[in-house]
Amino acid sequence: MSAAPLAHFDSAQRQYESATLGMWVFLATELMFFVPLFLAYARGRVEFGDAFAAARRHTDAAIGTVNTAILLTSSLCVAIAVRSAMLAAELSQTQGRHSAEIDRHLRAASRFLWLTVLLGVLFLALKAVEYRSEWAEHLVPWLDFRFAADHRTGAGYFYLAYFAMTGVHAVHMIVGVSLVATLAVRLGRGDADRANAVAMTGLYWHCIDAIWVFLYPLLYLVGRHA
Amino acid sequence: MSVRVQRNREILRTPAIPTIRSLVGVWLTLLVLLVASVTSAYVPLGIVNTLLGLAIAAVKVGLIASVFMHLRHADNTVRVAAAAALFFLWVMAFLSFGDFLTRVERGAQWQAPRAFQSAAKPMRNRLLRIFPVAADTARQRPVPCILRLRRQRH
Repeated sequence: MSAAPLAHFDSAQRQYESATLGMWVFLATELMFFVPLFLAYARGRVEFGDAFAAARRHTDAAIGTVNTAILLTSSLCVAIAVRSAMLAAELSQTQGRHSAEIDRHLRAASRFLWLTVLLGVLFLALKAVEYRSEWAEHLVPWLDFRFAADHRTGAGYFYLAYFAMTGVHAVHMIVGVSLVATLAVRLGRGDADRANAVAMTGLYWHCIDAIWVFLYPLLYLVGRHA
Repeated sequence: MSVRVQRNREILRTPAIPTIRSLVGVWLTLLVLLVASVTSAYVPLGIVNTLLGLAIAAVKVGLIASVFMHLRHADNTVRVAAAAALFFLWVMAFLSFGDFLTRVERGAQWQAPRAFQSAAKPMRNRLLRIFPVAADTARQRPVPCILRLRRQRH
């Protein structure tokens, strides 16, 4: 959907379809990367059920819930930005020149991307607050980990899974925030050629969001009532 | 001829751009589902809590994928790529758990075979002569320490 397709594509439509397919294949490999962590978690859950429930009671459900809401909202912002960028690209393709309407769409896309950056940074900041309190409570495995003796092994397993999953997710968030910020700058300058990049970054962002949606009940909610 | 047909088809098919209304609608639904999953977590339902949490997450991800990620209007090739990911994840999970869930924990202590013990003893004595420091701890154990490593129950 870029204004002008690259030389080896028949049309902008073709270019968009190829990029989308490539991105989905990449996201599939991302899933292969994350899901073994989920399997490790599930295995620990089977082996150390009680200890997992005990360990889970030490995670911060309030921060987890707020962070989930933040990520869902950031996904909406990205989706709206992708929409605006696509509309701008479609207009510049049909009109063949720059117009005030295209500029309006690009500015809207840029604004929503900045909002996404803001929400992403907020998410990471809350995550840092959470990590800090877990560090203070001696819940980091191997680094002076302390837990009730009967559940020590299982709780250690839980926090290992917790830090591996949220840590890898946070790294992906940092990459996502950098990508979105770069695109926000480009679109703010009135670059109508970036629609494909915005759409692909959007797919990446939604994928990271979707992974968090699964992390959230497993790490923050299950066993909460006990 | 076929080229022309191809071209015509391409001009007609522009990617479906979702409306603001549908995007915001999905977002509101996601927030409602979030509230539902938080609320359900505080009702004691046993294993159903976990299943419910995961089911709500699956619905959320379904909404995100179909509307936010445009999978609803996507090409079949893209859908196949997404479905292939899920299929192979299932295979990976199935095989992993086929192993983990069917492992049997033996009640008895692991013991070295008799023939092995008799072979290990002179070797241990020889090692003890070379490393006399280890003698104190090693004397209490019938087999070398490394062979006694077995998975500890929590």
